[in-house]
Amino acid sequence: MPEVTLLVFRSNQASNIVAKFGYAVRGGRIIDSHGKRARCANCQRELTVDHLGRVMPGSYELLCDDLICFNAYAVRLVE
Amino acid sequence: MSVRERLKDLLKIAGIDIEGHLLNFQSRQSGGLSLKQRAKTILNIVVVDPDASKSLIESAKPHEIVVREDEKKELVGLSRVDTAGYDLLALAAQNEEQRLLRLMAKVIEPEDLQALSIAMTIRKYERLGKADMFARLRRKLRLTYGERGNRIYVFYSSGLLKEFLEPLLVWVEITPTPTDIDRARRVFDRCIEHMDYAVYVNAPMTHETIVEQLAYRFRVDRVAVVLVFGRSRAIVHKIRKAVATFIENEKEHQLDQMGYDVREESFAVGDVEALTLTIAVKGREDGK
Repeated sequence: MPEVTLLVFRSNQASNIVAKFGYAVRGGRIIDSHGKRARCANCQRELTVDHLGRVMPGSYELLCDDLICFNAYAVRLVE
Repeated sequence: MSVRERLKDLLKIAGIDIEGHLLNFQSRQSGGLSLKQRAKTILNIVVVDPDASKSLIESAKPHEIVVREDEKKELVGLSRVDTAGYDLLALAAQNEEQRLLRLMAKVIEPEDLQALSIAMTIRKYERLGKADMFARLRRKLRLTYGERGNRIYVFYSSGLLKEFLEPLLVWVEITPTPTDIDRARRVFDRCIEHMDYAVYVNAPMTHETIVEQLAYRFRVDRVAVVLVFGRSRAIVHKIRKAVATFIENEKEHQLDQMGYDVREESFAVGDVEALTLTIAVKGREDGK
């Protein structure tokens, strides 16, 4: 498994973070560069800044704050 | 300068040398920046002031914060303060069991692998004595991955998955042929399917105990199908003998019953011999 470093952010930093990755925020909803609502890469739930849990390596994957959504990402690190 | 180097510098300024010295895990709910390092199997977590985290996130370019997978072996991601603790524990659990996971990844479906990863994280919470998280995650696992997810947890946490399946998985590692992979998958599926009322036979288990446990499951638990499984030549022999005794006893006790169907599947891989055997009340092989 590769080494993984996690930077921790607070919920009030979520808007700034997604903006850095090219997303827009409208009414709390996260909108991608094609104008579509961003979804959790695992459970496909539509994402809001309140429910943004992680930004993971890969194509800057967004994951929601459901704890177990992280495992779907983590098992892909298994070589 | 990579983020890791930047972090090292930040911590040096704070008087902390992270190079292989910090061994303690520390989680902090108020925010900040966590850095995980792996040194063999030791996971180090360093937490610095939230202001340092804030300034780093705000000043760094996105590609410096979150590194794409194909660029580096060292991955950097972002996690919210209330999910980071879980994420780090999940990674630590996976790190401890990476060999098993790597082998299972060749055998089982991605959904089952995710459920197994969650099971490993739950087990970690259980060992840490975090009862609330343990209960919450067990519910979540069942809700998301159904009864199959729950059985994967039971199979893993009881230690049976490792004890019984690992020797078969080793052969998947040595000769990953479709036959070896398929065999391991069938054994896994059978164990999961009948996990609730399975009887695992190990060396100390006596002939009488196996017969008693089978009788209990059929008469008291009133299940229709029971899986018996075990590994090594002597144990395989013991299982066959005990099942024959059980069937014989049942004939004497329950003359009005329709009897049992026994389906046996044995595996001999190198010097490893394993057996899975399902006993079903006649006409109720589907377990209903």
